[in-house]
Amino acid sequence: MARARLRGRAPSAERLREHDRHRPWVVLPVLAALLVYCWCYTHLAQWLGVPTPQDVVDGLGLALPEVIDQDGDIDAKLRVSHTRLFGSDDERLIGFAALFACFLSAYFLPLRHKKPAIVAWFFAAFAVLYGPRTALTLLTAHLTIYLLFHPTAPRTAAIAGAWAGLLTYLSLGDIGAAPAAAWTALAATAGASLYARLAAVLAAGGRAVAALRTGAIQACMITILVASAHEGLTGQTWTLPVGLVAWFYQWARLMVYRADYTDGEVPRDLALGEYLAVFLSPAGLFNLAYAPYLGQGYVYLRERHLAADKSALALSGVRLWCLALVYMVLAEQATQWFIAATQRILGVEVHAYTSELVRAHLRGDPISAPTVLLSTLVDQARIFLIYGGVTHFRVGAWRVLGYAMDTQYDRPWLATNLAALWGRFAFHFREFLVRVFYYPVFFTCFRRRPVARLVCATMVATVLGNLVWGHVPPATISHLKWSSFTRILSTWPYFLLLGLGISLTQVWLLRRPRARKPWTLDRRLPLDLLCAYATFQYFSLIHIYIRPQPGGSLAASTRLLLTGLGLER
Amino acid sequence: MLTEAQIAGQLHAYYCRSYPHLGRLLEHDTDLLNDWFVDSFGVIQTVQFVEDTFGVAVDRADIRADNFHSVRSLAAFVRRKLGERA
Repeated sequence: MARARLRGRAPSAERLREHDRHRPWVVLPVLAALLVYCWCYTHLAQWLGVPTPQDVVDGLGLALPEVIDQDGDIDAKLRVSHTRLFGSDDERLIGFAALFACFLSAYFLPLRHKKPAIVAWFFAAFAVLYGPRTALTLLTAHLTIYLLFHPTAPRTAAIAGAWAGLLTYLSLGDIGAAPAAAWTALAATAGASLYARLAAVLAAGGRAVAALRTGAIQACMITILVASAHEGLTGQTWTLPVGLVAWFYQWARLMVYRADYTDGEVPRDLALGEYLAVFLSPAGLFNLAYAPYLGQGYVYLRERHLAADKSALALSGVRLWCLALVYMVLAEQATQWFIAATQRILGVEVHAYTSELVRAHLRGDPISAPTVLLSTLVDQARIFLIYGGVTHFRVGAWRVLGYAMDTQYDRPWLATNLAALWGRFAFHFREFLVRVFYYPVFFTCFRRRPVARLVCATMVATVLGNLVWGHVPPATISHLKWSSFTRILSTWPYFLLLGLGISLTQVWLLRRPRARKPWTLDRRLPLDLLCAYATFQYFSLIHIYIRPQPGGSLAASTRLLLTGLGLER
Repeated sequence: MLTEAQIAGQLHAYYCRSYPHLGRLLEHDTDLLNDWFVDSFGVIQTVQFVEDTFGVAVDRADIRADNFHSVRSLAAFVRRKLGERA
């Protein structure tokens, strides 16, 4: 059953102290898990002169071509995005080392120093991986949000001075150290002085201030729109500073932060360190584009920090890391094994990727209904494994650092309806859509017409919110082109079918309340199995629309979908 | 005006009917979110039920764990809302 995580109360000071009891031996399993990751995903084994993953696989006489990469370690799904200062293996090694150092700080330091330590380790690792300038760009972007939303917080004039100085420093070209220092100092002084006057206006609020804040929160989407249109008109592509790209990847979390703020849940005088701790943690160093909404906003993290005993949290994080490793290592290989077995036993041709299936269809290859059903199913299962592995690693990292974070991915194969499936494979994303899109519509529109109210809120969240704010940014942030923008928008039938499926499920559940808990061991268990298969198959099948290929069209995708349903030959 | 006990009785009957949990007894203090199986759509359905049955308007800000934690806390919330309306 998809969980409900409602806003509640942060743990009391007494409870926090209870949960902060040291058990030093916990360091060992955390270190061991990270060493296993280093052995699998970096050159550590070669450096230490111990057998590499390739040696072990060869020694066991196994053939795992999808598991081992060219340099003898395990083909990695964990990546540090958008940087080339080091090789991929070294980047991962730095990331794992930063996580361990951060864990030691977050575990052993007194309560008041834990969050600042997490932020500090993030900046240290980020500056090494991306360069100091990129780290400063990211900091400047966050300072913009902080200054706009927290004008009454302590020391904001000094922070505004630092912001203005940083902005000036980052904008200046190579003009020499002395002129750069002079301009930076001048800008910092002016910024501090100006903000002291502006703070009262920001604190008073009003429409202009609200619009300014919305513009800042939506900077990612505004930039995507403007840059894509500019590229479409002129052919010139914008290249954004990587620090800004890293900040843009937090668009969904910024929107949840704004929703928390609007609901009055964020203290107006929130300290800068507390603000930065919401967004900047070494747990977010890997795979920026994978589940960028993990962690949600201020309220969620406030309630989850040390919400359980920190040692138990760390150990649950290590367990998640172990599970993540299994998922990530075996995803591709298991897919290949399944395809080979299906072809050998059933004689059915199966494509490993839905995109391959779509291309075969566009070429005019004969395709049977079982091929469509199995290919889409296999592709989706593979994606779930990889996605589950990467997000489990990241959630595990949050837990090791002291946050009782819910998993993004919770056994989606147990979902017996589409609404439950969505909550099971994308928990934090669903929470983002519910907070930012579903609730505002549900509590505003059609209050006296239950079905219209449900359908309207669901469609706004799953079609508009999911497509535009859920999928446009990750598809376009790195490719600010009109073609990228229109390509992702052209996948609208997937979102429409998903929205309709979830809406119908909800209306059905509203009209016919559940008579039993799914997966109860009784005579209706086979029905659960059938519902679980039908749910997963429908979800996999509609992905045909989200894998558009050159030469494809809405009609061609629909024909392939109908072929899968046995309605078209 | 309905008493808190009457409201709790109606909510209890609603959960037993809509979310039966074989082999377990729903108490007024049972944790609906963790120990029963009220999922996020269950929360939405509860909002609909509360609005239809008791005629109170639930707002977005009311969707909080301390209101939806148990039959007792939900009954207290509805009673408070009814009091505000009166």
